[in-house]
Amino acid sequence: MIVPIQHILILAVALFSIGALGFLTRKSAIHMFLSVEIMLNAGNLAFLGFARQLGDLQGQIFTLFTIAIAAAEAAVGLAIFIVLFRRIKTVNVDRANILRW
Amino acid sequence: MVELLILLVKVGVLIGGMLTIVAVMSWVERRGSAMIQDRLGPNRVGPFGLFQPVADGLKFIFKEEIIPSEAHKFYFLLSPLLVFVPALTAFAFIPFGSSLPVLGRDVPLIISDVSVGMLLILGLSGLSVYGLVLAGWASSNKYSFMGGIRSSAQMISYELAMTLSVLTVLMTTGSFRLTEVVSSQQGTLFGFLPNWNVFPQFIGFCVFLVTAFAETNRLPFDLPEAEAELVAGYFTEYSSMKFALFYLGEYAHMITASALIVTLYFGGWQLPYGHPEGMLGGILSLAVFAVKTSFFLWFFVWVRWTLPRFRYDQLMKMGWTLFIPLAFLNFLVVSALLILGVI
Amino acid sequence: MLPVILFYTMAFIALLFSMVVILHKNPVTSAMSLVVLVCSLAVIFFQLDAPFIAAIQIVVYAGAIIVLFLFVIMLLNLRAEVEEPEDRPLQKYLSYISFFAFLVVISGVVRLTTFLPERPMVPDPLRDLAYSLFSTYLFPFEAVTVLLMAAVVGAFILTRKEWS
Repeated sequence: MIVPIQHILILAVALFSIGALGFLTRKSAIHMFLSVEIMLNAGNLAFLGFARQLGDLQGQIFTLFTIAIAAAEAAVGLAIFIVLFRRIKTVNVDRANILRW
Repeated sequence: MVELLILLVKVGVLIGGMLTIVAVMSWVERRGSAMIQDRLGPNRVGPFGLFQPVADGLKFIFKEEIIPSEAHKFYFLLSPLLVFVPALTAFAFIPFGSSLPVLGRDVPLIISDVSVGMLLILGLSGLSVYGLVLAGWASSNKYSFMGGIRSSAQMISYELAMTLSVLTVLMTTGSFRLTEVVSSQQGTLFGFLPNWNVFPQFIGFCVFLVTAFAETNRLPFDLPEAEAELVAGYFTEYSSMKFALFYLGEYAHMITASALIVTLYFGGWQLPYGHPEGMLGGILSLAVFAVKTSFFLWFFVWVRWTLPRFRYDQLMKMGWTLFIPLAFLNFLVVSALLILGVI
Repeated sequence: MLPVILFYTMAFIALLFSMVVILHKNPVTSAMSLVVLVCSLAVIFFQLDAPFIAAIQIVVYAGAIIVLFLFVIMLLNLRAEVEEPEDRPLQKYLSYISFFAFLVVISGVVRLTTFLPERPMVPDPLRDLAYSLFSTYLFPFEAVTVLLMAAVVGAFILTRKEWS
């Protein structure tokens, strides 16, 4: 393995926390979607790091399914966002507050 | 160290060759279209107008660079690159010859022989969609934007049919490596036909040919850049060298598409009935590859000036309702032939 | 030597552009930075003996998912919106602090863990991946097919104007 497994895991954790940070601090729906994609990619990196470390292909197979699921989720999520956008006319999700008290 | 040097030489030769052929193609297009339309083409600049591309290049360099005030400058300047670079990069995975015994070692005439070459080529043609859609959007112009969206929707739709038709070639070969695709097309079929993939997978070849036209935005699929309909589509606002990059990018895509057609369906760099070894084989393979690719480049030009273009809704309908089912039909037929042991 | 430099370069690019994604105002810049992130991760995946996953990452993520994002951004004409003044600043500060703490804690855990010794990867990961995908993992494969079909139909139905 070219770099120790620790370095790959630290990269994955850093990417994950950056993605989670983006998800929690941004109010624009598009940026929240993109942050979710970063988190998914960080998870894939961790899986592949372990697959390489243990010589086991199960990590790669799970990554394949994660990518497929991310695609499905992006499609449906963006469809929901488009419908919401027609209502609130802005990307700021704080404006979607009709169901609040 | 020597490996690195050989690699750099190969890359340099490939890039230089592609850029030269791109310039020559503009001459071929103009003289070829003139021949088809029964007129002379450019014939003043040098013998048979051969220096016309040089004149064109000089003209493009000296033109004024206009950037619309409302345009998003960074993406406006980035998009021609995003269209041109993937076409050049995709050529890195295509074997343009067998191997040359040079400096005491066998140098394979391919830049990068990764185990997933074909998949990366498909990925790079997906990346070139970005150039189109960003060009259309960054121009801040209604017609450019519509042209960009139409063009990228067309490319995405036809990418599916292309991937499905390539799937059968990869199935019969058993690998994503293009060198193996080429070497699996050795020998003969039924004793007299060369064992090229075009013969057992003819439907797949037709689908791939048509989708290659659609992917490179060439007639009859060039409505997004048609002159009469949308001014010039997504590159309306581009002038001088930026336009030249788009124009040359289209030819670079054409070259990559022709090279792919040759590699996947027509045996690549091989001579039909047995290919010699060694240095002679290497040089011969380069020549054979060049001849086969040139035929398909001429075919692209020929079709452009022969057929009328499709309307956009006809184009999209065909992509989804005709070519994807055809590609699936091809998949069924080839799977049946594989199971029955014919191929 | 060269592969190690390549890995750290790609890791640096990945971290840099992921920060651009979450911090930049313009959604188009964020989406394009995500493309760069995905491609740099694809290079890292190549180096981890997962060539198929790297290629699929480029084809699916960079070539389809983010193009979808870009289409939505452009067709809805989403500009770089002026972010309104934060009316819940506590959430923002807490997020920053907690995720920094998370990063530090997990890095510490990773450093202190003794991992299982490294085993060599199978000589042809592509072939073994293909075989196991169609034998052991056939059911999840088919289930994902159904999931994607459901996503396509769902996205189509959700956005029809007369039904929303």
